[in-house]
Amino acid sequence: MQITGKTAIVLMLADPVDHIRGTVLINDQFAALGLDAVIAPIHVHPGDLAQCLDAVRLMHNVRGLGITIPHKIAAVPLMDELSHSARRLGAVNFIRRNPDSTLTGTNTDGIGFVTGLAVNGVELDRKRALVVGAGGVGRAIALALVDKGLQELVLANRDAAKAEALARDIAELAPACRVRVVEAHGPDALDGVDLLVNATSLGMRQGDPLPLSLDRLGRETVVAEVIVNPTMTPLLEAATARGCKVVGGAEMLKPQPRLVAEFFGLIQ
Amino acid sequence: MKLDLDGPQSPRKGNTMQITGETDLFFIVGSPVRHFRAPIMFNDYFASKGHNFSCAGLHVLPDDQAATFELVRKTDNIKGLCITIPHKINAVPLVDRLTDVGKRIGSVNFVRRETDGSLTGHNIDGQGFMRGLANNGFDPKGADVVQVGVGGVGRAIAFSLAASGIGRLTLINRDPLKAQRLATEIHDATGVTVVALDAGENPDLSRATLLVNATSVGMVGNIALPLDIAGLTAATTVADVVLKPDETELLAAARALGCRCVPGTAMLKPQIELCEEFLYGGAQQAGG
Repeated sequence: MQITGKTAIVLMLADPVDHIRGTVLINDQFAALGLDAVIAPIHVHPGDLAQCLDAVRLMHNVRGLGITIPHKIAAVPLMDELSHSARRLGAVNFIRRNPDSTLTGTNTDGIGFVTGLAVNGVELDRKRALVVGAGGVGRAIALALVDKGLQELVLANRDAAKAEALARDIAELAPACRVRVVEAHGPDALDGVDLLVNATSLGMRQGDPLPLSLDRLGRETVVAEVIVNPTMTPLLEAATARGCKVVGGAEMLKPQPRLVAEFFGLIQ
Repeated sequence: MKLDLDGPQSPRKGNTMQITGETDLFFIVGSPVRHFRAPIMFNDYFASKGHNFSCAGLHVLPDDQAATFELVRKTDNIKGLCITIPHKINAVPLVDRLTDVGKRIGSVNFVRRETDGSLTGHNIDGQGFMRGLANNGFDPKGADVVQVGVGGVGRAIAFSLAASGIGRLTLINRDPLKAQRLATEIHDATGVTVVALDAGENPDLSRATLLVNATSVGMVGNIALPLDIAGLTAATTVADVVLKPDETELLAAARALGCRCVPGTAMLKPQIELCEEFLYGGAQQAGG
């Protein structure tokens, strides 16, 4: 990586910032794509987000921003324009600075996830998926899965009301897809499911319980995970032991630099 | 002098820079920025000193500089800024304090963000020049210096020369009043004998040990001699602040006479070294 005055600058807004390592992966992939672009984290406190975004409007060689914890929802009302995905998720994870200094927010979490599945040869058209977890990431994934022509989406969440609310949204957005809510630890949650997705943080810390009961997990079910670290969560280990195909959390991140570069207009 | 933002690049060090949340960020604020090559030199040099540091250009228009400085105050993983054309003088009222040099020169080319978020403005043009001379084996002790040009860079160089033990300084400027004012100022501050020449008056180059061109005369688009060099001998060291071309008309003529020549690029590496000392070297160097 060689930074010059021509390099497209991308800033990753975060608080805290010390633990951020994702920029290394993104920079490596920008380089692998042959792009003259660099991403660097900057530490922005929640109270300074609006001022920071206004300053970025004035920085003519800044091509865009990455947005991470705790700014993803707070940034939404500060955008001049939102992509379809950002609008329906109510959260942004990347912002494009347009040549006229306006800001366009998008959310690539969902498309990143389904692209990661496609890269791993997982078919979604006419399939049945169970998504455990209806928080921000679960919502992004559920909507992106439905976009890919899912026949049935099953939702489970510790707080069932949140899953019900997401189910209603999906029923409205995609009437062709059947949606229902189940109890994650119920015996029949996995029946007939082609794809199981863990969109909770369970499995990140040692000693976490499994996000659902795996008693009736069959080998024909693909098991995907959003947790990046550890690479093999207890869920993925159990699924592998049963002979299931597994897709790790990193697969959701890998497609994102290219998707973001396309969004920024760095790749036509 | 200004950094050679579009100058030759240093040897490639490979893809060693890893930018994480622990990296100190540093921006070169200018307008335009597309021609900048300096981030490569900064990144290579700071990496060689073991810093987790990343430098990039930042294209900000003059009216928007204050908003950029405000953001830097609030962003604790930004270590500092290099300020270049056209922002150097405008930066003076935007920082929270100036080093003695910054105050004297009235322009800022480096800014350090302190841990409390306040900004310290500094100017290392003069120090960079002096270090470039030293690297080329020139000792300023007792020197008889003739300097052409008393603009921003000329002012910085003249003050640094006067503070380094020279014997006499002769200033020449298109507007002689400006040279006269600077001569008085430097004499009052340092006690060094400073002479400002009147329009049409020629310096005695035969006794000069150092001739400095601190004007832009000689650069691409303005190829000429900044002064009449009648009387110049091989005993004089000739330094030029012009970066492009590396060998100006003045330096070519001086070299032909057998003079030791110090090109503008000799000040580049020292500026980055001095920036590293300013950012990481502790307060004692900051006063400069």
